[in-house]
Amino acid sequence: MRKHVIAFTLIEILVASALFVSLMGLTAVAFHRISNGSEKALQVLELHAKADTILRYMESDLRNMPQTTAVHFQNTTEPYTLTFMKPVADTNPTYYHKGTTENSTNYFTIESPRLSDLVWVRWQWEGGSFSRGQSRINKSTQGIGAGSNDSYNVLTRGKMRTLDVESPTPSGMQNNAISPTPQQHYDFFEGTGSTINTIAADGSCTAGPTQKLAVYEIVNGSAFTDTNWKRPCDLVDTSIAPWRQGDYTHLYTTIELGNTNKLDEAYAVRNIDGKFVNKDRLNLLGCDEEDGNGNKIYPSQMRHLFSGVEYMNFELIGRNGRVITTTNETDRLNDGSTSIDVSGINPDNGFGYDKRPTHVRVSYLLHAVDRKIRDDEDLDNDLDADEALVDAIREIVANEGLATRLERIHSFKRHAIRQGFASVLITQSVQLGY
Amino acid sequence: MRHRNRSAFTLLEVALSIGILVVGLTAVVSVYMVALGWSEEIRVDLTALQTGRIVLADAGVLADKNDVPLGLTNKDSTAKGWVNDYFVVRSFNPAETTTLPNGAGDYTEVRVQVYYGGNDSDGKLAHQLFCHQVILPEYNP
Repeated sequence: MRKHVIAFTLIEILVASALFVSLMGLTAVAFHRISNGSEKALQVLELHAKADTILRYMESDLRNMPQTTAVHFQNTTEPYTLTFMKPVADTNPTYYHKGTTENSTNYFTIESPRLSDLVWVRWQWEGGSFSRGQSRINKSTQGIGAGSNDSYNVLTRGKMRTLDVESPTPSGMQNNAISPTPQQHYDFFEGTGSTINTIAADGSCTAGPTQKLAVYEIVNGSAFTDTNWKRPCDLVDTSIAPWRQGDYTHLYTTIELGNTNKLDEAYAVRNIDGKFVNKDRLNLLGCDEEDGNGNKIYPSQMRHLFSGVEYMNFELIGRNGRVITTTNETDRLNDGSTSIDVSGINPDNGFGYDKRPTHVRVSYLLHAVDRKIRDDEDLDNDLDADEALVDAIREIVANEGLATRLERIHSFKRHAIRQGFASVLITQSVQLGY
Repeated sequence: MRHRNRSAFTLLEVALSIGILVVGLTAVVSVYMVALGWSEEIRVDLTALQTGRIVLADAGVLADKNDVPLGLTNKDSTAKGWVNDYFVVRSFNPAETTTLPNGAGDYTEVRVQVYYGGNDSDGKLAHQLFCHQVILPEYNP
């Protein structure tokens, strides 16, 4: 009896093995290529999505910028900043007192939404990060009265003392038997001034045009309301604030209240025409940056939006299509070529329109290079091959002219492709509001 | 006496089955590559539109292949350049431009064509946008 053996011959095994190995090799190569290709495609998609998000963020701010408010711009040294104003609405309930005295018949009421305010917005690029900050809106609820010993306590977060410039009689917050605290209108951004003057308890002030006035913080809010229910937070509603009728400066005017504690880091500036007091953008609360004159710049609370933006080029474009430079700015800050500032258009006569920007042009580099990738080829020639490649690219474009920067950015892009990463240089132009 | 049956695949059967396997894998990979191609087309579609909108508003963004600005203006009846790796042609017809009274500027219809994968002669037209604009008299970049 013969046993039958089930087996492959050697040649069959060898052929099958060879086929298997070649098939596996082809499969591995194919999947590796597919994997790299799809990862690259996803990186590019992500970068363009990021660029689109940046553009929409900027458009949502810049297209709402009123041309009657100031713009500040700095793109010579990091951080590059673009600071401007935009209107906002306060949707939080406003708690205020509808009456001349606080008693059982004069009650507190809640109103929502409150009328709009103007806030400062800053876009900032530093250290490869793109950030945005916005100042807080006012929370004043005090009314402007004609002078009375009646009083009530309301919650308020208003920050500055005010003077009613519509009437020579100071009015505003008071405690019983204490002279009313002065109240003031504020126009936005006119100048820094040079001398600081204190607002007296009767509202008088010796500040001349462009001079600074000290401002005060709310401690315990005490105030009374006018029988016409005028509210200092009213900005655009002339029916509630009839003194504003015929005066369309209310479009860029706000009122804030304060009390007794003087704030050293904040002050207002009397307008160049000596009529109104301007809330200089340099002198708002919470700021900790200074310009060349030691004045503080606001807002300072920045929210990080995007990282990996290793190169950025900002430009303000004027009505004539040319880049706005330090030779055609308003320069209220009086800092020469350090930065560019342009005042708002005067709504009374339209003066200043010729200096205003119409577009903000921005170019920036987005990439998907991991921070683990080292600068092996020492692109920045600092003999440091251990630093991250993305830090090296930032160093080689800093303080360079535009043509040199672009050449080095393109070199970095080719290097990133060799490493298997995507990078894009995006150019965008945002049209400003009118 | 029982005979054990010897069962095995012949070389031809193995080769045939491998061939079928390869065809199947190729089909799967091809579907995947087509999907990648579609996502690339969608990306080009969206980014080309965004780029066209930018050039409609500001001809000054047009640059050369190295992203150096060309200094082209809204008043150039035909302006060509590169933006965001697209070749863009911005044009208007001077014969159809209306001069507004009181020196308010020129009113015209501006056309922007965005090309992908090359310039206006060898690239593929990705988008074409139109809008009416007023070109300010002081515009003189």
